[in-house]
Amino acid sequence: MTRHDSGRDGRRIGNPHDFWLAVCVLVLGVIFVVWVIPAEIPTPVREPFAVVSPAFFPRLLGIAIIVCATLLAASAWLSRSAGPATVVGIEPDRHGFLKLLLALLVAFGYFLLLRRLGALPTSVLAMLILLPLGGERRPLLILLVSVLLPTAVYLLFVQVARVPLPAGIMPF
Amino acid sequence: MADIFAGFHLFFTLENFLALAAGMAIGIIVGAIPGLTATMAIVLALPFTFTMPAETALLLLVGIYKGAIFAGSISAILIKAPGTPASACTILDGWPLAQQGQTRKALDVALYSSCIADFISNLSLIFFAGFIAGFALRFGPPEFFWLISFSLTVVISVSGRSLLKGLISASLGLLLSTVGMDLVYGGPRLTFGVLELTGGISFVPLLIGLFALPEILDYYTRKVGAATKNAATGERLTWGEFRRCLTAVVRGSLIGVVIGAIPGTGPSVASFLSYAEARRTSKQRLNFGKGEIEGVAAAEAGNNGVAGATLIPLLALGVPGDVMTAVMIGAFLIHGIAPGPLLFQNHAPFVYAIFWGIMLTSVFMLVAGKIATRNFARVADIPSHVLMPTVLIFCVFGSYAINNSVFDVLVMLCAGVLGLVMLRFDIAPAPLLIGFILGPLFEDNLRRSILMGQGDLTVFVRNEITWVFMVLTALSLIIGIRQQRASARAGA
Repeated sequence: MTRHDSGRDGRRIGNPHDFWLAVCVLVLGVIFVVWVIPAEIPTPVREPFAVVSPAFFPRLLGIAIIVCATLLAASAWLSRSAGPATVVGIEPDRHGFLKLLLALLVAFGYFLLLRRLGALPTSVLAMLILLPLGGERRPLLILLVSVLLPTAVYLLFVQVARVPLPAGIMPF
Repeated sequence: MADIFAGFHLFFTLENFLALAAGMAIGIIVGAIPGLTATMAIVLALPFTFTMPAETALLLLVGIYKGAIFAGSISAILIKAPGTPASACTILDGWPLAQQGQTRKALDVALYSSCIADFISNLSLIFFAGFIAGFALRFGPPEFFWLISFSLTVVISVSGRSLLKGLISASLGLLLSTVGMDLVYGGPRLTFGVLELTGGISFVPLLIGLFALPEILDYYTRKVGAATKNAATGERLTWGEFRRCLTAVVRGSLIGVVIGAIPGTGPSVASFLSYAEARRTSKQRLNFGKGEIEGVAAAEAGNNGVAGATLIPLLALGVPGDVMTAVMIGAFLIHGIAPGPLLFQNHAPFVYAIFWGIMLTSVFMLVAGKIATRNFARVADIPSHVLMPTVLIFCVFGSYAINNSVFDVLVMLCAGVLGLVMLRFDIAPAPLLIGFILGPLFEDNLRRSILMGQGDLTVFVRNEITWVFMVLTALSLIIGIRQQRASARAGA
């Protein structure tokens, strides 16, 4: 985390964390202004004023992002700070990255299965995975909470708020 | 005077009291659940008002509206997921307070500030309806442009430790707001051929994804049990602490009143503006963003200050100030009453009955809020490994519920990943949110001003209102940047 990268001239980058973030934002900003705007924002052939063009505001913002990213890269290069402060009192997990990937997989799986399986079965499935992932080890509790909590939330939305959540394989 | 007494007579019925109490209860429950918006609650309640007398129907809807605006702060403080967009700003200090085990204090200050702001806002509605609405009616695109520019300077105050990162975040928010149909030419912008994006990125899924999901995902990277704490415990708010917040509360209420009276702005803007002003002037400004009760008070006073005042243009001019008052117009029309200047002449007892009821909402809010905060605080007693997946379910269902669209769930998930990246790189998400809220208003008024002036830029300095907001914007920028630098130096 506190390792300092070396630049080409041998000078160390003061804050590599922010520097590489700025470089990524800069590259994305350039791609946006040079390629995305011309391709994705059709502009009328004759414009009365440049400001009225649909592409004007997004282009202005793209340039603002490029300028800010350049300044951030420069200040990170010259900075003496080593990066963002770690959160005091919160210990990172050794397998944190893997658990994060699994949690992301569950979250995106939700999106894929919501219509096919239905809101309630997908929620039960998500709970069955996320509860042990969060550290719960009691099987009966996992099973009970995984069924009861999603059912309660589902009924709240469907019966009280009258939101027609996808039923999927469920008959109601 | 006779109309005032006739209004009191019309109001003083059991049905009206029950409607207010039920509305407040529904509003608080809905508002405290992320994803279930006040607008949704009012829309769902509208069909139930068909058979009610007009004043009872209106009081029910007003109760829901006010209850929901306050209750958004409960989940914002407890689980970092604002129940309503208006409470997004409350997270900035409410959530750090909850993490420090001072949930009760945060909830207390949110409730008392909300009640005082609501009362001030109600008084303003009654006494200044005609005057403020008349002033707001003079706003054209150039005046709105400067008002939004002034509001955008709030970004500086909520940028966290790095102003540059805050500006990148705000620019990204403004950029995301341009996705969808172009307002002038009607062509698609940055939709990448996706049909669902032609209507723009849905606000609530973006909000949920940006603020709630990163917290859930980040939880799984921590060691089990490390971050689990009983957030419901904590001391009550003392009178001395609340007295310290009173200036911020009154100022925030007045900001809310002015913003609320201007159609199209809404409580989110007032909340951030009030917060920024409190931060700018507070002796505790270095503690803002780290768990400062004055920050919670200012944010809540700002958004609740809007609640009464937003009815000013609705009642006096027939102009809806926001989505919720637009829905309320439906209730007026159902009962054959047209809101506007003639309302005060043709239906004066009805107007005064509404005013009597509205004055009571602050008391109802205090009572219902006390009960709600006591019970909802139990949410924080649930172990994190149970709470986090449950919040995920609320996030998914809530995002889906807005438009009954699975695509909105995808928007929420993508916003969540973006929020996680921002969390990891220490980029504040609040500027993105402000940019997203104000972006369409800013761009629309900029373009309309240019078209109005036929390219002549003097349209932006055409009268004293533009000058006042221009000077305020410049002052806000200078003072904000100076304070940001001072904070950065103090934090270094």
